[in-house]
Amino acid sequence: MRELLIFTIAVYQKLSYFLRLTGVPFFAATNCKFHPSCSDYAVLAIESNGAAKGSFQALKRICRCHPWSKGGLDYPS
Amino acid sequence: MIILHNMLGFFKTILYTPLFNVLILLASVVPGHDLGLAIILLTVIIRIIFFPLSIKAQRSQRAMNALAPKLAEIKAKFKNDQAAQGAATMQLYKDHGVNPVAGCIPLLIQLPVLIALYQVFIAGLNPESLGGLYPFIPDPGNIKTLFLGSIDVTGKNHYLALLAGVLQFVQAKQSIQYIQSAGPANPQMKAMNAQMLYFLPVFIVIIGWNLSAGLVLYWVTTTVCSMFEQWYLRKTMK
Repeated sequence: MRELLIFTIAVYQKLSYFLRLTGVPFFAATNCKFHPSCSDYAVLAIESNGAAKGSFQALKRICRCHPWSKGGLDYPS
Repeated sequence: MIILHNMLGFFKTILYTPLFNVLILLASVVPGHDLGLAIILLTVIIRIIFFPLSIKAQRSQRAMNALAPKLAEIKAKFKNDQAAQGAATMQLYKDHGVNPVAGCIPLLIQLPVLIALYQVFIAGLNPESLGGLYPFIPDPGNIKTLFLGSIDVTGKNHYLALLAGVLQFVQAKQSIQYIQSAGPANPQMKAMNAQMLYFLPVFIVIIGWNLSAGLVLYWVTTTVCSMFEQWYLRKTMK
C-alpha cells in the first residue's frame, strides 16, 4: 500500500511538473507557500508514519493551504 | 446531500449561468450569428481575464527552474538535517524574489471556471439545452452552428483535431524553451519532458477526434492564446 501510494504521488509530480512547464490547458500554477510541497510532504509522511496516518496527515496539510495561513517550513511529525 | 446540492446550485448561479448567457449573447451579436466565433470570443475573454495571473505564474516558474541547481546543492549540503535544508531553501527563494504567497488559491479559482466553460460550450452545442437565459438576452433561435460557413461545430471535424494537436506541440515546445532559457532542467526531467512533448499532442488528437468541433475549437483557441502569452513573455524577458 505504502509503495503504491508513493508511486502514484511520483507519477502525479512528474505530470504536474510537465503541465506547469507547458501551461496546459491554461492552468496558472503558482508556487507553494509551504516547504516541502504537499506532495513531498505526503511522501515523507507516508514513509515515516504509514499509509493510513501519513495520508491523513497529508490531507490535513492540503487543508492548511488557504489565504489565512502563513506557509513556511512544515515537516510531518 | 443538501450541502452538495446547494454548492452545485451556487456554482451554477455564479459561474455556469452567467457564462452561458455571455456565450448566447456573443453568438447573437457576432456577424452571421456564428456560434463558433462566439466560442472563440468567450475563450479569448476568459484568457484575457487570467492573463496577469498566467504571466506571473510562468515568470515565477522560470525563476524556480533557474534555481534547480542551487536547490540540489542545498540538498547535498544538508543531507541529514531536514530543517536546515528547508530553511536554506526558503532563504534561497526569498533572495531570488520567488514569491510563494499565493499558494493553491489561483488553481482553485481557475478549475471551476474551466469546468463551467466546458459545460457552457457543451450546452451551447446542444440546441435542446437552451434553458436558464436571462430575460434581456435575445432569442437564440437564429444562432448558426456552421463556423465560417464550413465547419459544423456540433459535429466532428478531424482536421480541427489534427490542428489542435500540432498547435499543442508547438506551444508546449515554446513554453519549455522559455522556462529552461534561465537554466536547464535536470537530466531525468529532461527525458520525461521529451516523451511527454510527443505524447501530449497525440493524446489531444485522440480526444479531439470524437469530440464536437466546438470543443476542439475552444482548445485550438486557448492554445493560440498560450502562444501569444509566450510571445509576450519572450518580448518582456530580462
